[in-house]
Amino acid sequence: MKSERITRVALAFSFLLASIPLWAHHGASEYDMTKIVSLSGTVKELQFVNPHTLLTFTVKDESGKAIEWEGELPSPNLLSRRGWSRSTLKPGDQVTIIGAPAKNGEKGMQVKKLVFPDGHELPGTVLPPDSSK
Amino acid sequence: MRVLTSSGKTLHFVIPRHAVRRGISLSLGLNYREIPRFARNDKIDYFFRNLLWTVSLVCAALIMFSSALSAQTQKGSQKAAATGDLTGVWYPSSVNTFNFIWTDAQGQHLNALPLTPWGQEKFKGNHPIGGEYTALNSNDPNSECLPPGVPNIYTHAYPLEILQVQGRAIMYFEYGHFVRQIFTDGRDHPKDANPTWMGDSTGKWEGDTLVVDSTGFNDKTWLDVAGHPHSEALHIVERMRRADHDTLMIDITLEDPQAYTSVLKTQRKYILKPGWNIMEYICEDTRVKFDDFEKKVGAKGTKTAEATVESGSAQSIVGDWKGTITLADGRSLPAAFSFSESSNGLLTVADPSVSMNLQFRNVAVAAGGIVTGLTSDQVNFLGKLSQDGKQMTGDIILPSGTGHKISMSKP
Repeated sequence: MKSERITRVALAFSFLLASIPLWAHHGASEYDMTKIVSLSGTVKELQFVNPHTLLTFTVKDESGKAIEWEGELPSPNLLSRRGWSRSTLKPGDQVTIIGAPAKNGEKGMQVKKLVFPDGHELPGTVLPPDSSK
Repeated sequence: MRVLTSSGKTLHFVIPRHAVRRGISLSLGLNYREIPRFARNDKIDYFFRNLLWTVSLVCAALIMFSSALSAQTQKGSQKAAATGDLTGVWYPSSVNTFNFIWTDAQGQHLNALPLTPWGQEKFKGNHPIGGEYTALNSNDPNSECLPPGVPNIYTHAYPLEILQVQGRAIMYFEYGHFVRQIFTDGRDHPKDANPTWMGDSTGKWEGDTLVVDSTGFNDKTWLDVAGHPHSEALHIVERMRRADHDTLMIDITLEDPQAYTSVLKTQRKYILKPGWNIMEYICEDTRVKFDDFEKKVGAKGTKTAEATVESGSAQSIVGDWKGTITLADGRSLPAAFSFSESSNGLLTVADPSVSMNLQFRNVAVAAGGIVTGLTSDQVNFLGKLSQDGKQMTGDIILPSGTGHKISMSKP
């Protein structure tokens, strides 16, 4: 009984530890992982190159002024195996960008996922369940 | 005629005279009657009988030789069949942790690695990313696009391909296009070789397990993402095997008497990805541009990140939701999500194989039906409400970035 409980605790713990993060290369300590921001953005540029994809987009503030943001995404290799291509986002596209903001308050974020106006989503650093065991 | 067999038995062959004649006639392609009369003469018959004895002996010898040869060939092909097949494109399993879980030789978990004084000194000088160190001020060789070395290469979330050719197994890593040649032709490590980033590897097959022995590393790489050092004395033994057709297990044992007082062990799991191929990955592509971005978001500032999500009331989702959770490993299990009026949310998975209770605080519903929450272990919930407010889908985002997906409805 005790060993079963230990196994369960270990299993629960393993879910917290699991998996290699996709931003391992540059780390994630710049981002406040305790916060999630959700922004309605207009795409300015997508740099779909290794080691990290960089998305530049604008968000309108209360006065209607376009504020420029940048979002870090995993490498094109990882994204292209999850439904992305370099033409996924084109300048002018409207998309909701959800992610963890920079700790220092700069307009930068680690993009966790994108939600398109028709409701479909594309993953950023959040790995969707796949066939990996 | 007597023939001594390999088992030591003597076999007696009696060849009757008529059979001799028949044999001669058959071998000449003639009926016995068609043999010329002089050939039926007993003296000539005796000559032919001797000839047949000689031919029989030569044939017997040939048969024995060829059966011995065939036995040897069979043995050789059995030996060839004893090599395993590890070929394919392999992707890190979602059970792999970002950093290695190190154990001692007996498999006991090590919270701190047994560093020698030399190792401790080196470890102090290594500043992995995390805490006060970002990609800008960390001295992790990975951040400089330098080769990660072994076993650090296994901490990268990219596939690797194993190719087996005559005398070699080749590990071709997508991350950085690094290559390890594992020589399986029986050679030893070169003597007094110049140390290299990925080391020198030899391998031998033990059944279907490839046992890889590696030395000759330089000391410029780290063992892991935590910055554990190693010296040029690093010696790694990896046992690579298919646990099943789709699963590659790599058991790693290493010793480095200059840096560690005892042996270290860890393990990695890879999943076969049929149809995948290794893509190009050049680390350098955007470094200049990306470093500008790193400087921007990594610069020390006193500002607090702006709460860009409009905090809305979580009132609309209060109650018990039921549905399924799809774990990162692909399993779907029944789950329940209860939201209270005090902006708490409890996600429970009660299954014989998994026990998960995640207590989210500060649950908020923002514009567009975006639901957010956070546990004390920094597990994020990011959900989306349907327009009628009765369906909720979302991601459970672990600190490592792994996502479990939930799909819930409110009865």
